[in-house]
Amino acid sequence: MMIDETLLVVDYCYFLENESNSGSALYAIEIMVRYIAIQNTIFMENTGADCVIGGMYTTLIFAYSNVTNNTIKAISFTKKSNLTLSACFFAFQQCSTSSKGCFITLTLNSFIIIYGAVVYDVVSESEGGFIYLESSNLTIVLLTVMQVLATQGACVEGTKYSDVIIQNSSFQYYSPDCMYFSDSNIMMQNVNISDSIYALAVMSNPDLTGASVITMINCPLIVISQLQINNNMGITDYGGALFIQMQDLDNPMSIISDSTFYANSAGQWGGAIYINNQNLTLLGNTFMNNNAQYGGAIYFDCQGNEIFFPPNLKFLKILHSQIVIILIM
Amino acid sequence: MSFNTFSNNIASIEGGAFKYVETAPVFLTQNNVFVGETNNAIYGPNYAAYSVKMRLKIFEPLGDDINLAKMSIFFLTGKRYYFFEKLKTIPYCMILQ
Repeated sequence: MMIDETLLVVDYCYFLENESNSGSALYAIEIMVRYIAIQNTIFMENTGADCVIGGMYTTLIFAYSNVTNNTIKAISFTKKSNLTLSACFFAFQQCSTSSKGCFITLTLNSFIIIYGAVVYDVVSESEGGFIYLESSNLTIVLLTVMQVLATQGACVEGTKYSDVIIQNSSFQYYSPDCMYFSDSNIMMQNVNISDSIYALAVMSNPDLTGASVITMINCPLIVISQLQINNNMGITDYGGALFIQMQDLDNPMSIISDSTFYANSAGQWGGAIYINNQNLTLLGNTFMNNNAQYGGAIYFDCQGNEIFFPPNLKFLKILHSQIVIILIM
Repeated sequence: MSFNTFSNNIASIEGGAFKYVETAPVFLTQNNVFVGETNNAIYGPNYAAYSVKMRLKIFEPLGDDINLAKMSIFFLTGKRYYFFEKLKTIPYCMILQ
């Protein structure tokens, strides 16, 4: 579909088995179409090289629509695009290694609000099984995600100074992890995450690497309340539920309150939480039935006392031993 | 004040509920509830706070590769012990406190 109007309304349409290099069903840029409203529409079995619906500098309202059985990512917008998704159903999607964000990819200062959506049965050979963000803002309210497989961030992945807000949503049956964030601000409220299927997924893909349910690397602001993470067993060495790593951040702030961590495990450190910084505030949380080797529920590591040695300093010789006991005091 | 509640958490070695390295986290000094004797570990059924871990950068004498090993300090029966983990085949290291 070529578009030459500034406003496009798509209502009660059916896009089936279309193919194109970019935007196999629909592609829009600002100079041709600035606003798109899509509702009561089905996108099914479209294929191609990039995405089913794509665009840049565009505002998209997407409601009461189904996106199913496509072999490329469903929605890909970039460059200050604004998206609103409401009451949509995304299902039965398979994406290749080159397709970050199997359903939605958002980059370069774009915004998206998802209010009321169901995602079911996604198999991605790349990152961000449901949604992948770069330098963009995401707000999710009332999202249900079930049965999602990817290589990292099976449900949500946010990178490069993205802002992510997730409220009143649930995520279940994911592998290897649920969410992955780096260099992003994270706020979550009333989110329920349970039942990793990593153990099943690794049977068919032995090279799959386990991970914490939520990984947050260099996230300056983490505010989490009423989060429930349950039943994630033995998929990583660090932090069965949360892995929080902070480096080169001046004043990171992490607050986790009124949350429940139940029956999570890590192979080594922090059955529920691993954090390498002391700037974590925990208020009113419940930790139950978590296990690890060190820190059954929580393991606090730290950044301090990393010592760098110039090579011309004193040497200590170590002979024929892999573990050396030294009394230095 | 909201309480953090820890119950039935298990560490097979240290810190049944939690373990920290070096400085105690702020929340440790605030209100936490360890339910009964349900948390379990060999050292520190509720929390382990008696070991300190330092990091050393290890240099191989004839190469440019930099490896990271860990030196732990443990207090056992009133004595302080240091030991290296994962040094394996590196023949030399340098130590500075």
